Amino acid sequence: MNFGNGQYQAIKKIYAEKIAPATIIEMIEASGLRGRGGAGFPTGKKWRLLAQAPGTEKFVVCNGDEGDPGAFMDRAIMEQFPHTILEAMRIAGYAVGAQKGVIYVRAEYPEAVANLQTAIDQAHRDGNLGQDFDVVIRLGAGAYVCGEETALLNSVMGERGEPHPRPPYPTESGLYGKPTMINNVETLANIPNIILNGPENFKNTKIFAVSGAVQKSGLVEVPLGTTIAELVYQYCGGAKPGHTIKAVQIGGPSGGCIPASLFDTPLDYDSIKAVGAILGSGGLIVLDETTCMVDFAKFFVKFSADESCGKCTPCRVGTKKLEAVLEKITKGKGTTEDLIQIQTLGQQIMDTSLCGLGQSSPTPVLSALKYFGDEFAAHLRGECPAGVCFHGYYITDKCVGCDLCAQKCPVGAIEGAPKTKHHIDPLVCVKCGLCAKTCPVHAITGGNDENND
Amino acid sequence: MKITINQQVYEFNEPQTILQACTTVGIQIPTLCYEKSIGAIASCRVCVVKVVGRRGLVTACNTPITDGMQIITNDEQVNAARKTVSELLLSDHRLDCISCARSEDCRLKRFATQYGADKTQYAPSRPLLPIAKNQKHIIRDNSKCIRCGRCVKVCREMQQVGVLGTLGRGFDGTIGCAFEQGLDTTKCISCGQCVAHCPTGALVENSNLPLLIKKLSDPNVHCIIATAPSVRVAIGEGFGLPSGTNVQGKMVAALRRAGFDKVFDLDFGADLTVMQEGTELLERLRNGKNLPQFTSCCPGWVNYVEQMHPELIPNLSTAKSPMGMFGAVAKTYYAQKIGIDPQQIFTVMLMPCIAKCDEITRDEIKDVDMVLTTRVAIRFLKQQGINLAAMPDEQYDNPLSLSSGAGLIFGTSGGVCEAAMRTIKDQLPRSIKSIVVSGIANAEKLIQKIKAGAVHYDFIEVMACPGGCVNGGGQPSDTGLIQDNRGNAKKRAVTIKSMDRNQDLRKSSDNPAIKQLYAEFLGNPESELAQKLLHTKFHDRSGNKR
Repeated sequence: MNFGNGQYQAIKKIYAEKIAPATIIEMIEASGLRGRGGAGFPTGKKWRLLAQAPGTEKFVVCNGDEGDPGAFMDRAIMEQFPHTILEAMRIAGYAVGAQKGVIYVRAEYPEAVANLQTAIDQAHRDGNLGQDFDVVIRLGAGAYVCGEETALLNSVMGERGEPHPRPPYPTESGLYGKPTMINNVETLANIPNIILNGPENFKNTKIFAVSGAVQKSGLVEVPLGTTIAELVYQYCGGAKPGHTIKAVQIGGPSGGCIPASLFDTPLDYDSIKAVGAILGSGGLIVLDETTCMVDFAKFFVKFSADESCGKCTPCRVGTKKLEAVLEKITKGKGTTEDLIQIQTLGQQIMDTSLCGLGQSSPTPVLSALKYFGDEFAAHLRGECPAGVCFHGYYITDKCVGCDLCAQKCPVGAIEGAPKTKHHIDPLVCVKCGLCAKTCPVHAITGGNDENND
Repeated sequence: MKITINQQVYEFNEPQTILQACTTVGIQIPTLCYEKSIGAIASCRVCVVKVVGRRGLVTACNTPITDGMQIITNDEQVNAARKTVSELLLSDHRLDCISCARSEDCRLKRFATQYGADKTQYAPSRPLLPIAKNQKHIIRDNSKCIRCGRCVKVCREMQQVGVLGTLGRGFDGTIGCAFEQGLDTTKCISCGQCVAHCPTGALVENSNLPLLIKKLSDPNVHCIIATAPSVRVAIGEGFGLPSGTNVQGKMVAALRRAGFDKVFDLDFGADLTVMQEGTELLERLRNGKNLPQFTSCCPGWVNYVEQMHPELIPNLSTAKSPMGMFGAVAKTYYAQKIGIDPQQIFTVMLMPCIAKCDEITRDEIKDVDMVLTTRVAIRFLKQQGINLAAMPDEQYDNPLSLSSGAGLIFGTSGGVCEAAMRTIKDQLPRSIKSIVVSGIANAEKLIQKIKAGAVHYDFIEVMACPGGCVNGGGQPSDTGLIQDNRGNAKKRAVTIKSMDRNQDLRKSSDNPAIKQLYAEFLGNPESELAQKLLHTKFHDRSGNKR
């Protein structure tokens, strides 16, 4: 089996044209390439930092711990273009003076692991690896936090996958205390092209894993600066028939949602950041009116709480409490104070957490609250506009027996004698919320009827 | 380097952290996970400050100052963040502060009070965690644990025993031993440094004060207590006195008022250990067997050898620890002398050490009935309404108290070696090399060097705790703003050394009480009786069995 691009032409060009390491770093800088893993750190600058780090033993680490829900860009590259990654790592090693490379792949990607190993073996056989630079694979055991670079390095060394505070940055003291740089899979995959075609011809494209409420989901590679609207409507076919797209969630558990009104926003690091999300690794989930933004935010907060390593207080306990507040709201028991608490606690978690996971974990809920505050407010009134939350609706003792709700109910779930308290049959109810909107005395609320639970 | 702290400009020449810089200029920043001798962990996030130009807040404990840095240590945002962290830590806490053993010196309580934490702010997210059993002489209550990571770090780095770690992940993670086993199934050496470093009541030593009070109240029981060398310079800290204050006389008076029939000085036991261990060393030097000789008075170290280096057991001195010797002499010589049935004697030892609680469970050390750590003794005295600081100075009881400065310096690293040399230096058959090491991590390094043949010694003193018993796992934790157990221990050591210098009697073999004991009872250090009462044996526990 061979995996295309196994010709190592960029490396051959470097040796044939005797391109100096410093020149390569200048080329990467000139290309404007920024880290594709999420934070968007300029790649050339990172390479320069490692090249300038003292010492002769240095490491290049490829971060293939792709963990964002709905993101499969790196998996596709590792499975289909493993040689490109190996070539890029060798170029990096040459440019910064490192002799060893480590590819950290999550064990949930067995095919990527197998293909990378095959490619390493082939590269050894063909003399493309193993002389001045060599690469080994290390498997992650599935913790999301191991995508964070300091936790990743701990995991590679056989330690508990917990982040440690920076400084020291890995470029000063990384793997086994040696200067180390960590590059994302997709970042590295761009390197050979930059060398071969020159930085001036680099298109600066980014792969997005588009999923959710669109007609065509999958991996889409577009130049940075493409608008959300172009991606969603032009390349992915827009909404499913009969539905309306209301937002995209971009950047995974560290990212945020962007409402349809802002779909003119170009997909680049700074523009996306300006509207309260992050470009992240490229996971992009399209949402239509059937998704409840409160419930959706709760999913991501729960994800962050579950995946917190537990080292620092705000991330360990704070996200748990944030999840509890959202749980309360989706049960129809939220109050205005809860919304204020989401904002203050969320901001404090961002301000005080140790690593990127904790610092960004409240972003999904804060951006949802910012753009879909009306949906949160509706939940406080006992309504879920998307009809996702609540077990159903129930009628309280405030009911005056006017029967208006029963008349409006599209499925005939409400019964009751005139001038007496009415009752909703939960098995018939479709949770449309029309009754609650109709009731003149606000006797109908969403959530679980304490007496019937 | 010029930096601004709360609008004031300061100049610093040395590289340091924001925490150090702020402390130097008198600005207090709260800390929970930071302890000076073990360094920054940066897990608790209570020391956050604002640095102009930086996103979010930064932790003062591990952020170095840089030229031109503008730091704000207290404003609305910083204070609110600290308050929230304290409320998050309290949300699933047991909150039995009224009866908690650490009620008076709990750092979490102090911090939460300072920032006005509202415990109702966040509802608990789980039922309280059970209190861990099978933990040797340590009780772990993870419902009081703030996951600071200090215990894990001291066990792993300072002691290189490494039996503690984080189990599981995130909110549901807890601190414990691998596979959720009890400490008693591990190679824990009971040094107690985890307890001494715990900022809350999550780790406390086991104690049985009701039994003690029962014995003290029983007219048919003769209760005696002996106090270890390093306790007299530490116990005052529990009563508001600065660390290193010598409260020997007050401590004697306090224990007497607490109901002990006799209060003895364990320095006497230390003098006795010098006599036996010194004689043993001379014998080994003469016949060249089992050298180097390692000291064995530190039970944490003995546990380490038995569990991790059973091949070194022949090298351990077979002399019992001062506590073991004292217990044996109390229930034989002393019982005879005062004409009382040994069964009626209840022997209590006031020790700086949790491993001593472990030592009395050994078959060979059955003469000691109870060990009180310094911390437990402080709680006991307070419970009994005795203010040690207000006590008059009183003298120890005889006949088991008269002791030399050599016995006293057992309380600090280097003391055992020094004490032995004072007694035997004139009888050495040849010049010898000795070395002193404290902290198990350091001991392990030395063992490896010896095994590699890189170094050679005849006599090696090992103390499990860095700095020796002054820094023991049963000593009071530093209650200063920034916890510095080692710093306190150094002050205690200075006092011990100056007490020794000011003493006329500085050599164990010159101690008239010791001479009298040999003359009246034991004969000489090599007599059958001395060997039977004052020596012990060790067991290979590398398979973790005693």
